[in-house]
Amino acid sequence: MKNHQISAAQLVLMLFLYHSYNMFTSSTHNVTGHYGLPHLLAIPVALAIQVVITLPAWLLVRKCRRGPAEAAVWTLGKAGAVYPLISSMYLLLIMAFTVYSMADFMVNAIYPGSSSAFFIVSMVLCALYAAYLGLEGIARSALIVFVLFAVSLLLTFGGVTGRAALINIPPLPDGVVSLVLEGAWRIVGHSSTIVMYLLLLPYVRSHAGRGFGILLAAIAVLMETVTFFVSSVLGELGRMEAYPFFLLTTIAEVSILQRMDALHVAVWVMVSFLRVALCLWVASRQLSLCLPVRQQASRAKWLLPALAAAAAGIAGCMNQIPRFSDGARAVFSTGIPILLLCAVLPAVCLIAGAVRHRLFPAKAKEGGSE
Amino acid sequence: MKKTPPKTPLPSQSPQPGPSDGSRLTGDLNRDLVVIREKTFNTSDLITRPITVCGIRLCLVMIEGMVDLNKLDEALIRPLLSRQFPDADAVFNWVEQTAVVGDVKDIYEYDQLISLVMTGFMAVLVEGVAKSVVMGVQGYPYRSISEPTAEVNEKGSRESFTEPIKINLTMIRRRMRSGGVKFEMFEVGTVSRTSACLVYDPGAVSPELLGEVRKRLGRIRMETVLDVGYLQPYLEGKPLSLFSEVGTTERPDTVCAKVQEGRVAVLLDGTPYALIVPYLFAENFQSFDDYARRPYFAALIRLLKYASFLISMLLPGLYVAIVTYHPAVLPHALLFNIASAEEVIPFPLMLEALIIHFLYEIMREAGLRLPRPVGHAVSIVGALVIGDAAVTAGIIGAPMVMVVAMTAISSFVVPSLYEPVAVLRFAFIILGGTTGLYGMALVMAALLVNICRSNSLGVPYTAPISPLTPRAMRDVFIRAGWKQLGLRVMRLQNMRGSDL
Repeated sequence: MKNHQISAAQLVLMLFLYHSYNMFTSSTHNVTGHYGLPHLLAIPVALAIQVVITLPAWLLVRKCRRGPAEAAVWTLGKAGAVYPLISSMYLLLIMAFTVYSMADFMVNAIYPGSSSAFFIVSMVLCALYAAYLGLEGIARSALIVFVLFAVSLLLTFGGVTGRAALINIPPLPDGVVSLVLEGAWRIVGHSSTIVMYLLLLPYVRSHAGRGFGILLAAIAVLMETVTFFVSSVLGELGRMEAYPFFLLTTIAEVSILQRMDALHVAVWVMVSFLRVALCLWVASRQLSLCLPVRQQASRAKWLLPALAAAAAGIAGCMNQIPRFSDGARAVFSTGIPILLLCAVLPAVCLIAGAVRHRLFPAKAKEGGSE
Repeated sequence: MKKTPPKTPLPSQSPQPGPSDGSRLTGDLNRDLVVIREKTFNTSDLITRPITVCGIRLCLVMIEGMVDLNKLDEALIRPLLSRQFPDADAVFNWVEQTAVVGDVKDIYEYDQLISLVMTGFMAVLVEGVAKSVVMGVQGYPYRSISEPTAEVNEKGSRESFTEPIKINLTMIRRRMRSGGVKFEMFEVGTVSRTSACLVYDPGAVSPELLGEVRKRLGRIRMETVLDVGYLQPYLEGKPLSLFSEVGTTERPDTVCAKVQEGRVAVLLDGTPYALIVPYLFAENFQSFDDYARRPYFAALIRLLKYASFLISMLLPGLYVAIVTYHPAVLPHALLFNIASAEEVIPFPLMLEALIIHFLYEIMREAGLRLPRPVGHAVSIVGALVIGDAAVTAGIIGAPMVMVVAMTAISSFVVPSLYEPVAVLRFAFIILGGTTGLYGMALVMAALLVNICRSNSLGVPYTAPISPLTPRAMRDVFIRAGWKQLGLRVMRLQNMRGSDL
C-alpha cells in the first residue's frame, strides 16, 4: 500500500480548512490592525505577495523534484537540516498557538469558568491520535468536515444577509495605501498555510501547482466575504468585539432556528482539531529529517508524542503568561518565519545547489531520480 | 426433512497407486476396515456394511444419517446383487463404471477416503482390490431455502442462503449463468475440515485483492470453524476498529451484484451467510430493495437511512449536551416544555439518558433471545408498561422517552451498523453530559479520522465519498436510474485512492 499519498484536491480542501481556523478565535479580520475597507483591500494584495514570496520555494521544488525541506538537505548537505528544523519549530509554535487560542475562546465565549487545561489537553490528545493515524485519514476526513463547515458558513451568511448594510462599513481613512500594504503584510505573516502547502508537496501524488492558486483564491474569497459581513452587519461593534465572527453566528437566525452559535462552534472544533493534527504530523515529519537517515525510522515514532507534549506545554504557558502569547502573535505578525521558509532559505538552497553543481540539468535529472 | 443435497466435488487429482507406506489401502478387506476404524477412533456413526456378491466380499463404508439409502439401494445395491461377476476386479470395475450415482472416484489412501466419507460419500471396498470407489449419495437433513430474516425486502427475490454450501453455490450459479463467476473451494479447520468457497468474477476482480484474500485466509490456524464469523477477523485489517470492513449478506442476489463489482465473497458450509470483501462504509446504507424501486424514491430512502444513522448515534448525546450546556440553541417554547418535564426528575440528564438506554438495550437483547411470542410480550412490557410507569412516577422525563424511542427506531433502519452505533451512542451521551458539544465534536472528528484512515483490503473504507469519486456517487446518497447504473459497472479498482 502506498503511504501518505493524497491528491492535490485533498490538499487544497485540507488547507482551506486549516486557514479558515484563523477567523474563528481571533479578530483575524482585524489582523491588519485596521477594519473595514482597508482590510478588504489588503486581502488581494496579500494574495499577490504570497504568490511572489513563494516563487523561490516553487523554483527549488521544481529544480530538485522534491519538497523544500528535502531539497534543502539535498542541496546544502547537513547544513540543510536547518530548514526542517526551523519549519518544525514554526509549526510547533503554530500548533501551540492554535490550541491556546481555541482553549481561550472556549473559556471566554462558550464555557465560562471552565479550565483551559482541559481544552488544551483534550485537543492535543485527540490530535495526537489523528496524527498517529496519518495524513491520509486527516485528508480524507477534511472533505466531510468541509461539507459541515460550508453548511455552517452558508447558514451564518444566510442568517445575517438581511442585516447587512453598506453604510455600516467604516469609510477609508487617510493614508490608505500604507495601511493596505501594512495590513497585507500582516495577513501574509499569519498565512502559515503557504508554508504548510510547500511542506506537504512530497506527499501529494498529483500536480499541485494549480491547486496553490486555487487555494489562495478560495482563502481570499472567504476572507473577503467574512470581512464584508462582519463590517456590514456589526459596524463599529466588530472593531471592539474579541470574537467578531462568533458574534455574527450568534445573531444569525434562520427560520425558527434562533441561536445556532453552539452548533457552529462544534464545527469549528472539528476544523481546529484537523489543523492541530496536521501541524503535529507535518512537524514530526520535518523534525525526523533532522535525524540521521538510519535513525529516522526508529526515532520518528517518539517525535509525535514529544511534539504533542511540547505543544501542550507551550499552549499552557501562553495561557498562564500573556507575554508568551503576545510574543507569538508578534512573531507571526513580522512575517519573518514565512519569509524565511518560503523565500530566503529556498533562495539560499538554489544558490548553494547551483554552486555545488547539483542543480545543473544533468545533475538535476540524476538527483530527481534518487 | 430429509433432502438430497448436491454433491461435494471430488478432488481433481487422486494419488496414483504406488509403493505401500501404510497410508494406502491394501486390498485386505479386514485390515483396511481395521485401519479405517482406528483412524476414525471407532466412532459409532461409522457404518461398515459387508456384502457378499458371487462369493466376493465387499464392504460399504458410510456415515450414518448422511447417505440417502433409497438412492443407494436403487443405484447400487439392487443392480449389484442381480448380476454375476467372475472376480473381484469385475465387481470393482462395474461399480466404478456403471453405477449412476453422481460423483464416482477411485481412492487409494485411507485419509482421503475417510475425509470423503465424513462429508457424506459412501466408499465401496472390494476384497483383493487395493483401492476404493467413493460415490456421492449424500442425503442428510437440512433446512430448506427460506426468506431472508435480516435483509427483508419488499420486492425482488425471497431466497436466502441456507446451511449446505452447495445449495448456496447453486443459488449463485442460477443467477450468473455466463460462467464468469468462479467458485474456488477450500477447507478450513484442521479438525472440522469445513468446506469453504471463494466466489469471484475473474474478469472483474483485482488479482491483488484476490491474492490478499487468499493470503489472509491461508493464515487461519484453527481446529474448528463452525461459522463464517470465525473467518471475519482474518479478513479485517484492524481488528479493534469499531466499523467492520467485512460485509455479510444472506442474499444470493446481493453476492452476485457485489461479485460483479470486483468483490470477493466467502461462503462456509453450515452458515447461511456470506462474507463480502472489500466492504465500504456506504454499502451499509444500500439494500436490494433500492434497486427495485423508482430512483427518486430510492434516493429519498437512502437519505433517510443516512439521517437515521446520525440520529441513532448522536441524538441522545446532542439532546443531553444542548439541554445541559447550550439551551439557547432550542426555540424558547420547546425549551420551556423540556424544562418543565425535567424539573421533577431526580437524576441529572446524562444519568437519566444512560439509565434508560441501558434498560432499552437489556429489553432489546431479551426480546431477541426469547421465543418470538414471549419476545413481543417483553417489548410491550418494556415499552408501554415500564416506560409509561416511569414517566408517571417522575423517574424519567417524557422528552427523554421520546428521544430514546426515536433513537431506537432509527437504529433499526441500518441494522448492519447497530453494533458500533450502540457503543458510540453511550460514548456520546457521556461526552455530551460532561463536555457538551465541544467534546462531542472533538471525538466525532477523531472518529471521522479513524474511519477515513481505514482501508478495506486496499480500498479506502469511506470511498467513494472521501476520496471523492464523482462517478460512483450515483449510488451513494442517491440512486441513479438503471439506464445510468447499467451503462458501466463501477468496479473497486476505479475508486479514487484504491490501491488495487
